[in-house]
Amino acid sequence: MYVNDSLVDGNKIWLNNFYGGGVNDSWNNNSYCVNISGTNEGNYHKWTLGAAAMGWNECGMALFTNPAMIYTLFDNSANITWRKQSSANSVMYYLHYSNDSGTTWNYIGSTQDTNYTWDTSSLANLASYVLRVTPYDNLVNATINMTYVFRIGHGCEPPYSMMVLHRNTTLCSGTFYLSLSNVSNVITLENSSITLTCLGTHIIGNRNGTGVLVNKGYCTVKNCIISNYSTGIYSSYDHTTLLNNTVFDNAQMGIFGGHYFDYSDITNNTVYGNYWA
Amino acid sequence: MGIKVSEALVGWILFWPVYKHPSETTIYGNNISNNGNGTHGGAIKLVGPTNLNVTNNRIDSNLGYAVQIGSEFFSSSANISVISNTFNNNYAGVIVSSSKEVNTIKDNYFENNTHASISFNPGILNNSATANVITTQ
Repeated sequence: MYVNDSLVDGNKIWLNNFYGGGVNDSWNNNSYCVNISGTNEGNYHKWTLGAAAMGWNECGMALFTNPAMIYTLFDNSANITWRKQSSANSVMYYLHYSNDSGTTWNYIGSTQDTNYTWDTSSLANLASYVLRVTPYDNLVNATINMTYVFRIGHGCEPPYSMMVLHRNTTLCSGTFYLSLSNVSNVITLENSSITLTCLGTHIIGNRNGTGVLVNKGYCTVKNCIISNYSTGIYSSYDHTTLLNNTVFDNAQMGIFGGHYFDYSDITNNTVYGNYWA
Repeated sequence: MGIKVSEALVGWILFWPVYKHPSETTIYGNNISNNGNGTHGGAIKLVGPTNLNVTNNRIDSNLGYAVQIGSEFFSSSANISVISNTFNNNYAGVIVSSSKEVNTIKDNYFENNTHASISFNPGILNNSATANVITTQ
């Protein structure tokens, strides 16, 4: 479609099927996203055409709406949703997942709906997954969309660097190498009265930063193994409970309680091999 | 350093620094060993807290002080109770570096701590050490 002229203005272009060629329009005077009865409709582009062949405000492509945030956690099932692909024809959506950064894609299923309940119970607690959805109108695939990185955790959550907790959280067992720059923390407890429970989880750093930062009062950290950070566990908040943790081989301090570390308990921890004063 | 509980500078009044001292903290039942570097950095360092209990811990083979109350620069630690702990093979057991009065060192077991089992720095007043078992020094 050639509309590449400043005098081509105010046209509305939607529900077309671009199987080749795409749109040539650099003036942004026309609209490729049209509100039809409260729903924005765009066009169907063959997946190989790419974004350069779309109008400036094309909105027809399928787009994941859940997971909506990076590191969303799913347990035994995942309710996947996406915005529909605009098309004058019926569209089937094919879902795949990858757990190797997109090198290989594993088929999940297909549907004509814009949601899918995915049984994830047989998937292991791996660090990260990505989903993709491919619309198909019985002739060609349309633009492919991929999710953020998300995680599967069966009753627990794998830790990751810069993890911020706002609720009670159980970390999965295993050893996790989570390096840091000097000023950051692997896990931060950011709401009061929450508990971080480790299932023997061992986080290992690169002698920088803090393994677990308690950043609010009335928090508990228990059953964690923390090594090779600058400081293992750091809290300057009241009513902190540190219970049954093993904290070792940190460059400066194993456990630090700062100026508001009032009414706190450090109980039944093993603290060894922490280096500096 | 194994565990450090420390005050911090929170402001100034008439050019004097104002420190917030953590208080009412319990260090109980921990196993704290092999911390430190040379004679720096030991098991537990208490720089300024008040009303703090160190109880029933096993504190072994630390290269610095096992429990240090106060430091060279601060003198506000008070009402520290070090009770029923075991100290073996550390550079030193309990040292009161600088402190207000009324710290209690009681019912602890000390064995083979190189420098001293219990040490009071000059100027320490009205602390108590009682019913401890000290096998060497």
